[in-house]
Amino acid sequence: MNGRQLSKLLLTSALLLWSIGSFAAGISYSGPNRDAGGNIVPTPKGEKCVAPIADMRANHMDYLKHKRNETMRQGIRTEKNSLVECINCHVTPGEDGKVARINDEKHFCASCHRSASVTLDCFECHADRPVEYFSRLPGKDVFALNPALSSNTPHVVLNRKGE
Amino acid sequence: MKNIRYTSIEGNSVKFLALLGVYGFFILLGFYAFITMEHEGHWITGMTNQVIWGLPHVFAIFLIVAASGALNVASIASVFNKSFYKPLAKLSAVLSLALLAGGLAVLLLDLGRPDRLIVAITYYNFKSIFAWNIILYTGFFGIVGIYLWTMLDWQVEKYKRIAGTAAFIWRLILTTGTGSIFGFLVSRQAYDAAIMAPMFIIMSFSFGLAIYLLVLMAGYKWTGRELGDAVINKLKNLMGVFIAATLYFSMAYHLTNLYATEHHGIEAFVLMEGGVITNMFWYGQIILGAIIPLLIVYCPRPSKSRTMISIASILVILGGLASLYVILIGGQSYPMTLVPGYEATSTFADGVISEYSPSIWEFMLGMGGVAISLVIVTFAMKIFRLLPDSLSDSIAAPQK
Amino acid sequence: MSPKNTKPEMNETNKIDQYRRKLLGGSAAAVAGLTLAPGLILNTVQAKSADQAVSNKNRWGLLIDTKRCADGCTDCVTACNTEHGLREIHGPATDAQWIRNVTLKNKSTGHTVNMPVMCQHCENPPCVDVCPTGASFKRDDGIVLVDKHICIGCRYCMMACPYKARNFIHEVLTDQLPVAPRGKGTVESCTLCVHKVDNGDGTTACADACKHGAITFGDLNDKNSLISKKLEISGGRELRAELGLNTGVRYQGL
Repeated sequence: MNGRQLSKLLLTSALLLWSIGSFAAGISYSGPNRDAGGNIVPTPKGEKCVAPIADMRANHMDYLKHKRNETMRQGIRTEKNSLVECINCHVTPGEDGKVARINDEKHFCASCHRSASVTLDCFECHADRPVEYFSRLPGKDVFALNPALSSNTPHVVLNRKGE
Repeated sequence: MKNIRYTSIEGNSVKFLALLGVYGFFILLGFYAFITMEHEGHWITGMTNQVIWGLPHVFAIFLIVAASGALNVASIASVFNKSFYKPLAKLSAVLSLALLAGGLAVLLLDLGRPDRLIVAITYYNFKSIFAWNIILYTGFFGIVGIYLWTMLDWQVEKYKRIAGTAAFIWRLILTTGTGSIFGFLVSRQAYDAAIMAPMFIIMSFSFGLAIYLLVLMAGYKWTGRELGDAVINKLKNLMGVFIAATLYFSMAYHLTNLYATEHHGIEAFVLMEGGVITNMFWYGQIILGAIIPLLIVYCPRPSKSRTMISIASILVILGGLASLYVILIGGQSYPMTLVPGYEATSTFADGVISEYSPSIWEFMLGMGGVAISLVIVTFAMKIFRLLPDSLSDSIAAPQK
Repeated sequence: MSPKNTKPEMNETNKIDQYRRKLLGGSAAAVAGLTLAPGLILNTVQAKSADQAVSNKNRWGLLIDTKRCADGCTDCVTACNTEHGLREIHGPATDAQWIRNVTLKNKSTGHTVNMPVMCQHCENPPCVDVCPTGASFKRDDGIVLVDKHICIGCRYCMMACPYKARNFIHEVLTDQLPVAPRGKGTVESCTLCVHKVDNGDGTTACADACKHGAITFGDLNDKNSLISKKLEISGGRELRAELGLNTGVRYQGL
């Protein structure tokens, strides 16, 4: 075959291989890390999420976006769909007792987003760890581990009181 | 004018490819600067919390203002029906699109979050002149694009007058909007003046025509086509008028400021005590940008030399950059008065002149924008039939 | 003299004594009340519940008494930095400063004044007018904020602010505090501790930290709040009042 036909063939093969590869990667996507028992690791706190898993997986970006506008522009700070609350529950210490940071694939958000190859913009600005990992006591290292909730830590509470 | 033949340039010579190579080099440098600035953050530039807009904005606003002015030649042809300018109109339209593209590229790539461009064109605050400018700039591409189409395609040529008029009005609104970016700011003494909008309009006439003249002369000289004195003299004289008008507006602005005691501080800073700013104003804007080009244009000996005319155009461009530097950087360096009668000091540069030293990244980005404009107009000359075969005196001005 | 004397002159004296006791007691109570008032008022302000939207029923503001602002004291600045995780990174030219201490000196009289300056939370904010995307906005309760989700980092609001209150984030940030999300390429400014206000804390970090009582936080729309009462008694001027912005931050002693 001549040069033109050859380059056409190569281009078509490359496109075909790429689509098959992406499809394979897509259907092999299994979501967050799980342990041998099928439980998500690190284990989130609480019994269940504020919405069913499939619903959350498909729509969490819309819920977060809607909630962020309510919080920012109207001061509505309920716990449901609050990014801080999501992190408070889902980002927990792993087996090594340490909480993963966002650039680590073991972080709850990063684990899915990496497999799904979706850019995560939130943590350019937002804290990627639960509130109890921050201490605002003046004079102290702001990132000292402060497991006990005290009046110095931000308001958001962990008891799940529903709306 | 019926025997004007438009042809595209050949664009096959080594020199042509070398020219594109030079443009490409600067575009790559600009792209590299953008990547680094976006990745590291603006701390690597000279722009700070005090001098907020810097060299990229000087380049960007210069290119955008010149873009609107470069359309002048075409407007004079189509709107004001001066047949002398009609052969020059196509290049004028393409040049204005090219300059706007380059200017916008620099402006957008300097944003803190350039990845949010979609946000910028979908979320609008209509009280913001910036939001209006986004609409005006994108609309400019559309309207001048249609205007260019009426000039290139004989089947729609009958709409040329309407399209040209629409483009003319649109670019007046656009440049008014660009000037109003500063004119609408109440916070700083150097801005908040109604004269900013018309001053930008007259600056656009001057910068745009200077660039047009250079591009025209280079385009004809480097392709071996004939460009007669009639065209050059007419454009040169028009440029002289625009330079003088720009000088007048600048004088009106400064003299008005000098009358108000409140503004004596900013005027003393710009005219006398500002160091780099003062030098840019007197040597850059006034002497190089206005006085010397006016002498070249109107004195009998230099005005006949093409080299001198090119030098005049280059000086107008450099003077234009200097005047925008004075407006932008000078206006931001001068402190704002929080309480009248009191001098302020703080950890946040209250009450002091803020220093600004441009970084190499900003220069690279700005030059990248210039290169984008030039590569577009150069390439357009090759793929479109923009330039008349010959603009010798017998063709351009047959009655003479 | 027996207290049970019933002579008319003694009754009158008793009455005068009683009146005096009441007056003294009442005044003492009033003084004590005014001293304790800030604490009491804080504790009795109804905290907005989390699911309630803010409304223009409230207008939050600060009153700064420059006569109480001590020379060389930067407690409010330190408190704000600690509260929001602001750090020194590349130097004062590009580091964020949400609040700063400005020393004013009158050129002719030599009079010197200290005052903290932060975002003035104007009623007619120039920064909100010029923002192309609407990221700079004013909440119904008067707090001016930046929606950093749609901020494109054009910095036009920084050009427009008459108080130079806004900062641009010039570098990649890590370890942001949960109450203060902030990131590279966006613009920010004092939020009037909106996270504390919404929580019902009734104060801001700077007001809380000021040992000299120079900063008072409160509801400008509530005629009974401490800030409104102070404003009514001693007045409070805006910085650059000629701009007509009706700022939420007022200054006394200028």
